[in-house]
Amino acid sequence: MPAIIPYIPNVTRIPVRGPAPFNVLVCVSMTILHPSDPDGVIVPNDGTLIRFGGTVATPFILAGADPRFAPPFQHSTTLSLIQIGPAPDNDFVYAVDSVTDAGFDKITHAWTVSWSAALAATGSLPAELCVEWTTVTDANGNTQQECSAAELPCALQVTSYVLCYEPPLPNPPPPPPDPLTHFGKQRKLLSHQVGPARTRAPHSRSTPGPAGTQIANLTDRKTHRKR
Amino acid sequence: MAGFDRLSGSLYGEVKTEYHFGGIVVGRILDSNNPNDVASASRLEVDIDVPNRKMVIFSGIAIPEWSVFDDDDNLQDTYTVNLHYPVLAVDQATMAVGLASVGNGDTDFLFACDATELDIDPITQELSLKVSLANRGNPSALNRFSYQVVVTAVTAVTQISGTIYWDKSIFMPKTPSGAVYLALFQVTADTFYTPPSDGFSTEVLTIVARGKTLPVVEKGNDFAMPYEISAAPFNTPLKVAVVPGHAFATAPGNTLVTQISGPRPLTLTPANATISGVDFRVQHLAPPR
Repeated sequence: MPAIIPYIPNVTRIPVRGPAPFNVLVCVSMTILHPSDPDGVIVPNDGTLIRFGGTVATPFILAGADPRFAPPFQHSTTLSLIQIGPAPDNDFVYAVDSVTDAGFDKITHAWTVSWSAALAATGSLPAELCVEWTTVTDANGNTQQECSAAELPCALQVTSYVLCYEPPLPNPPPPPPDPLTHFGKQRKLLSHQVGPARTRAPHSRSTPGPAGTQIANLTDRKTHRKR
Repeated sequence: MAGFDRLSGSLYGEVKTEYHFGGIVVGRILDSNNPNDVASASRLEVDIDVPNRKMVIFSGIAIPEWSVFDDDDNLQDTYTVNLHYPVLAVDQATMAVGLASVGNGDTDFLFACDATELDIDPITQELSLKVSLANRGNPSALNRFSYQVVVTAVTAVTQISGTIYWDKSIFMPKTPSGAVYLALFQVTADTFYTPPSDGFSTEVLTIVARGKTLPVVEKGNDFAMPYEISAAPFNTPLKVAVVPGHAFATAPGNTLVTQISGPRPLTLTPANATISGVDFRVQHLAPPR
């Protein structure tokens, strides 16, 4: 199962007035594939509920942290399931039960969240999920392999809002461009490019043809060169 | 299959929610102050430099424990999470919800968080999050859903405050200040009712807001510990409860906490959102000889 790549900005810092001593509200969101480590959670295929915990260091690194003191913070954190595994013909439970801890890592100062989760399964599981097989013999003496334990894929979304203190930057970055000015420049640029193109002859080389023709032309050129 | 215990929900066990009532599907109110209703409930209050307005962020994992036994229909239900935060009005709000614990027993299934709505209780002025859920399967359990609410609201911060006194002969903390004081008392604002009974009945208290204690000071022969309770609901009769914590270690006997001043019960209103002087005294009753 490939790792899921987060598709939204991970960390947003919002300057706030307080409460003291806090000066920034940080929103950090992250997608976690669980079990994420090579020795993932093995779930017996007999319905036993397996409880386990997880911890993730998020991309939010507290700036300017003083290693001599634990940084003050307040947080509001939650987790949800955003993917559960295939369940073609089986019983299952996928659960993220609670946030068990959250805080800054003492060494890296990364915002770290821990949670408790649970998984259970029984029945017919896809072969690619099975990590243990058991040979069973039926009443007629025929033997077959049955999945006795599996790794169930499960993805979580963790989102934290963290009130904390970060020292202001000595040289604040320049303000973002005025959107209206930016838009005006874009319009000028567009009119400059699009305007003349409309006046060109339909057989101009720069005029794109129907979809797919550019690839076809490239192929022709390569073929022509080979000859 | 082995039974699933309550922490992650019951798939075949007891159905926590009676969702059919006279043929009508009935939802349930989940109390964010009750860890059996909402796990990991948390709240952040942020100053946004606008008078009488705050940004408030609520997060948690709600525990509807909604089991169904029907894989022919999608059953729908609405659950309300009482966020226990009084506001006068909501300016803007964003709500995000997601599934947190689901289970099914080898049948067709569906789990969904369909819609959300943020309401203000007309009496208590508390914010409540309504979440429309759908569930299908035989059996199927939608045990938990997570939520995160970001709101900017017009606030009238409610506050109940007072002081807890006790004689130095009863208990003297080992250190004059520090974290030990935080564990001395649990202070809460509670709703109350007395269930009907033929004989002796006990008043039932339900916590609606938790307070924090402040550093203790010496006053003559007493220690005095101020406390504050914020975000208690409006228009609701309340009683302040002070319970000695494990750190308040006295000689053998019973510890009695009595309210010595201030209204009991008390009711906060938008016009009277702050009540102070709700004071208590701790007494020690020696065991009989």
